[in-house]
Amino acid sequence: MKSVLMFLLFASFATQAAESPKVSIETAKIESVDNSLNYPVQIRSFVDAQIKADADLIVMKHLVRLGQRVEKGDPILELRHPDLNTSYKNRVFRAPMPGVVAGIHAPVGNSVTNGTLLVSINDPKKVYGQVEIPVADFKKMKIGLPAKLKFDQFGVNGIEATVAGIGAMVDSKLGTVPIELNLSESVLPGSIGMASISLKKEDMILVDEKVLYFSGDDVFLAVIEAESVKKKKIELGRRFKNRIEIKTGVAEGEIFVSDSPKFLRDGQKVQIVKKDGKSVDKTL
Amino acid sequence: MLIKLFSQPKRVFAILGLLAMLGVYCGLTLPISMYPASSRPTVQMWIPYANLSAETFQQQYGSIIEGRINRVSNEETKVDTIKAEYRDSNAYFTITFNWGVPFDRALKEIETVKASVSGMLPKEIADNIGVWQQNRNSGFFAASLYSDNLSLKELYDKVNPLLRHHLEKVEDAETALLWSPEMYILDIRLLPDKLAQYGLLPRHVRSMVQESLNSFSGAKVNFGTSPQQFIIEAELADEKDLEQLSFRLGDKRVFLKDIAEIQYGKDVNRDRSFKTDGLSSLILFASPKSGANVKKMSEDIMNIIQEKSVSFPKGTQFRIIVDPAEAINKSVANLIKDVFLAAAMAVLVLFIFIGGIKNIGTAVVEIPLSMILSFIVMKQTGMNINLISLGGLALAAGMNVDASIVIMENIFRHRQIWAKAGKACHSFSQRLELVSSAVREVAFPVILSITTTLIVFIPMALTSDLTNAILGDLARAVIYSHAISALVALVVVPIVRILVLKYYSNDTSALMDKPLESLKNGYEKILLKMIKIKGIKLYAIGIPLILAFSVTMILAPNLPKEVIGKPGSDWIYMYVGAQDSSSGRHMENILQENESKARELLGDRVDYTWVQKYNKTGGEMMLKLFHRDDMEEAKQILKDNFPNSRDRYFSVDSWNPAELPLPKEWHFKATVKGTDETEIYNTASKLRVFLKENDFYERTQLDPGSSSVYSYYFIPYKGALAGLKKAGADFSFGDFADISRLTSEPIELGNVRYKNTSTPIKLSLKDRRYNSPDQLESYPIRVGEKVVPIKALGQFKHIKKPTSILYKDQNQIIQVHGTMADDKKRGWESHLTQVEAEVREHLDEIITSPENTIEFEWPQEELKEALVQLKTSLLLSLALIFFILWMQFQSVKQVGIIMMTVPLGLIGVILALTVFNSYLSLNSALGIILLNGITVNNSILLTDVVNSLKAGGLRGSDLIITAVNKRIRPILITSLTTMLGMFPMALGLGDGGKILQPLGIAVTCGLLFATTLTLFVVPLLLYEAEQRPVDVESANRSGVSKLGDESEQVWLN
Repeated sequence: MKSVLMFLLFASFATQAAESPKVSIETAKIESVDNSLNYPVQIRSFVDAQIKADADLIVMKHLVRLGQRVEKGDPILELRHPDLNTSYKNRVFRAPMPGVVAGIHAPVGNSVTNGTLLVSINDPKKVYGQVEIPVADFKKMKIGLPAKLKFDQFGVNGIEATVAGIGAMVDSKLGTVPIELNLSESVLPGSIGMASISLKKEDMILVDEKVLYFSGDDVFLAVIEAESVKKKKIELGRRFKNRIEIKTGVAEGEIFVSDSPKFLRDGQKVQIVKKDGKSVDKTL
Repeated sequence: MLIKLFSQPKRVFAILGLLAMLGVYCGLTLPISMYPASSRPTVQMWIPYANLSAETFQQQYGSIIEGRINRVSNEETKVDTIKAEYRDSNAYFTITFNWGVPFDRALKEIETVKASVSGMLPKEIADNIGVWQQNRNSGFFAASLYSDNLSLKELYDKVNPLLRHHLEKVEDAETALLWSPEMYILDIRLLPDKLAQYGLLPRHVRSMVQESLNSFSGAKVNFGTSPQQFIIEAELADEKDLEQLSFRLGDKRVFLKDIAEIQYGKDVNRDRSFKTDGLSSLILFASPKSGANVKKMSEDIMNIIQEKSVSFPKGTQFRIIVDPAEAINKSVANLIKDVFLAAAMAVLVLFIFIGGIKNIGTAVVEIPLSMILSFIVMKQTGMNINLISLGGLALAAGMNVDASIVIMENIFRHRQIWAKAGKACHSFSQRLELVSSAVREVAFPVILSITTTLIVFIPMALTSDLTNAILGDLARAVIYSHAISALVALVVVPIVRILVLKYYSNDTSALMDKPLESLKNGYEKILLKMIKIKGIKLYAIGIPLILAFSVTMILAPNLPKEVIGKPGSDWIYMYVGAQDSSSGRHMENILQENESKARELLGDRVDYTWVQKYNKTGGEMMLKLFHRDDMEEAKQILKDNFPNSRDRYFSVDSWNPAELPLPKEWHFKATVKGTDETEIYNTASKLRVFLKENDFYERTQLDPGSSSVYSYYFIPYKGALAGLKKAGADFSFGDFADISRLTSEPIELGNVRYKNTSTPIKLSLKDRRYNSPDQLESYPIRVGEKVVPIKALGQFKHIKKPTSILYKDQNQIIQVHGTMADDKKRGWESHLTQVEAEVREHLDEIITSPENTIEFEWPQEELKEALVQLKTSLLLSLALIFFILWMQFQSVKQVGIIMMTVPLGLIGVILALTVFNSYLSLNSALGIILLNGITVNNSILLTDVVNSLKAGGLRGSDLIITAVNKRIRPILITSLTTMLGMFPMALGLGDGGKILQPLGIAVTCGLLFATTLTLFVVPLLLYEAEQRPVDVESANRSGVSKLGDESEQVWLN
């Protein structure tokens, strides 16, 4: 009789176990995730002189070549009064500061008016990166944060930089605040690239998107609790390729189903065959 | 009138000869398609957004367009559902009309909507709206071409010029082309950083390229139903021509090469691929014009391939995937086989019962004649040849014999009476007199029998929706050929007999003479004994009725149901869904792995395989078997070795291009309604999850569907655009849309002639990092001297939101469907009741808003409607039969007796379907209806002869016995020929055997049952109805049971 009872008990148990789907589980772990914010960066020179016409004139002579290094006071352009009947002496425009001739904007013979840009002078060795960050990210910025710059147009990657200055005013039209980056090597002023500013690493629980259960607007994770599946409602955060941050709903150390042959329901018994990637011979 | 006809045989033959030639001509010129229209008319309209975003387009124009489409619905053109899908670059509107709306009318209505919305849309959108009719019923042609020593591009470049012009000239084809899944494009990959440097946006580049290329299009000309557009393309020598395109920015000239990289190469976004036996393949695809001859289209294309294949590069192979001509040829061959089988059966049975080859040889010609003449009527009524109408002609072949047999048998019987009486039968006038009297005797019951058979089909020809779509053509084909068989029986058969009678010898006997004699004697003895049983009338009526009631209430509801069977096949189809696939390349690898596994498992059974990738998460495999007998085993092997999981879904089934495309067979259907589209979606999603958690169905899906991947929506901050304007930037919402769109798919700019081929130019973003939203947020935008990230101007929201909207009766809905596994679907109806009860119990957890409702619908509404219509047709046909019979016999009692065969037939049908495990389908329901018409004929023959004998003075048991004596042979002959004619159908032989098998089983077994019982029940009831007490007593006193006139026992000479 006893053996019959044992057999029946075993049979029912075995049947139940046979009905339980075989699942893989993982432990929710807190990971330190590189957190960086990406923005377009524009390289500017600390020296950015623009020599403009202060009257209506004719450009007579270029006294420098593009890329030429000049010192303060060096002659740059020669212009004259447009009225040929006058006998004014030609005027020489000079460099207001040392630098490199970055652009000559007025060809010889051109008439220019008051305010026309004639020549720009900068210093390609003294450059910084200017980034306009959205107001929403302002509080995350700190002086000294490291950054990496990338310039696809030159095929240049991984230029180190640091946040050197943070603006104190919002551009109300654009909703941005300027920050300055110090560069470890010079890049041609005017270049536009991408800056990846590293924030402090963030600790978060990340899971693969495919382990999630979606139901309408709600998202659930199938956690193993008290020997069966319990679907916990979670709040999702940022995505990192195929992985998503779980902001709330699951704590570190909780085990959840990472792979199952079928859709699981609350309270369902399961048979664990793999834990954190390793085979297991355990039945719950 | 008949005598007049019979006396001018030459004239009659001349007229019939001309009609037969006309019939052959009509048969050869009838349009041919694969199927009748077995789906609702569906039209699709697509509208590109140009430079608007999906959201902007939907907000500005979506509801107006949807409203205009909704207004199309009226009494004549009722719209069932409208689905609006707002995808990345285009909006698609799919309009499904109700059954019965003519296809061309449906198309015209949507063309009108297109014209009306064009007026309110920007030109670049209005000029590119497309309208297309979805037609699954005309069939299509598909062949794959591949090579093991050439790349796909090389193969395409070499083969396409050989085929293109010839394919374009195929008369019956709407589309016929060689398609390569690899498209080579000129890809302009924008450099966002450079664009920002110059303050340019994608739309500047788009305008520059489009204008500079100077492509222009000519007029749009309508050919048939689709407008053809003439385009003269600009030509490029090489990529440098593109690179040199430029525009002025102030005093600077900016070249395209300064802001983009230009490459000629494979379009990586073109996600489709085809492989035959593992080799990448091209597809030669053709679809027919509306109303065209698909068989001819198919044959023309095959001829082109055969002819041009000699010039194909060495090593090129091709495989035919779908050839509608093959299916139609098989069906025609089946029809011819069935006609000859019916004729051969008739000849055999006649020979056995009547004897003498000369007597009956001409039956082989007479029988196909009714089919040939019916082509004339089919042509006049606008029918076409399709697999269903061919099935109807094959079905009618067996039935058309009956009237001719009755006429022939009676002529022979009269000939024998004359011979016994010593009457001469040599001269034309003597033969004329003999034949006329024989025909006159049975003309009435023959006409009445044919009329009753036709009557059962008339209500079916008047049904609507799915029933008419599937059975309408079949019913009409049967009606036409069977009606003409009356002409053949009453005119052709007698005239031929008149001519050949003079060649008869006088001492021929039939094989069945002695056995039939014994059978008759035994039968009559039993009948006489039964007549004497007290209250026999009660048993004769009560038992059949009780049996019929019992089988209808107990067995019939448990019969498995389907719309229509599927033909046999040597193709296995396996769908592979992979939610864990991350890219098109990944999906190709998954398909390749599964293909290798399937081939290994199936071994030598497989001839070749064809694999198609749809997109990054789905594809299909088709395996052609050498022998279709291996199908069931092969399917089971695949089902056992490819189990479903959360990430992978496999669906295995057989596939035959000759299958009728039918409405999808669901086992659960619910409609979620509400006022807020997000809440409707949430409720539908929760319902689906509930069904999945409880494992109620193997597969559940939403319509419109939604995937588990989120969609990104850019929502600008309030005032962002105004701020940009103030800062001097020329930026619009459309520019945001362009940027988001460019990250997921390129924008097409048009075509250009490059390397002698029309080559698309596409605009894309070089930097692939913009594929993820956190990177996309950093896209640079120049504003004056500053460069800002796009996320300063708004937010990218990761929202799980359906981009498709389904309307029914102008309400927005989402439908939830469920399907069960094949091995579990027999009990789906009782399962459905349980599931609906469970859902109702948990409604509080499922419904997410008080405004939402869930309505359960019958999942197979169309099948249910079809069966209801058939039931109505059945009752209507019975009522019509009753009326016609009453008009002729003028006796309700006699008509009631005649119609006792109806429940007898029904008992036989349901018992047979149960015993043979067959389905209650439209075809078995058709079999029941058909059977009513056939079984009634036997009773008509008996009743008619009883009335004639009664008029001659016979009464009582003598009357009944003499009557059955006279008519038992024709009853047996006609029943046997019909049963034997239907027997191959009951076995499910031939290519489409499984489709008509329930019909064959219903008629064969039903007729067997009904005929056997008819020979007892009807005579007994007729006896009871005609009985006078004095006749019974005198018969008993004399101890004589007359077996009928001895002279009538000799049948043949």
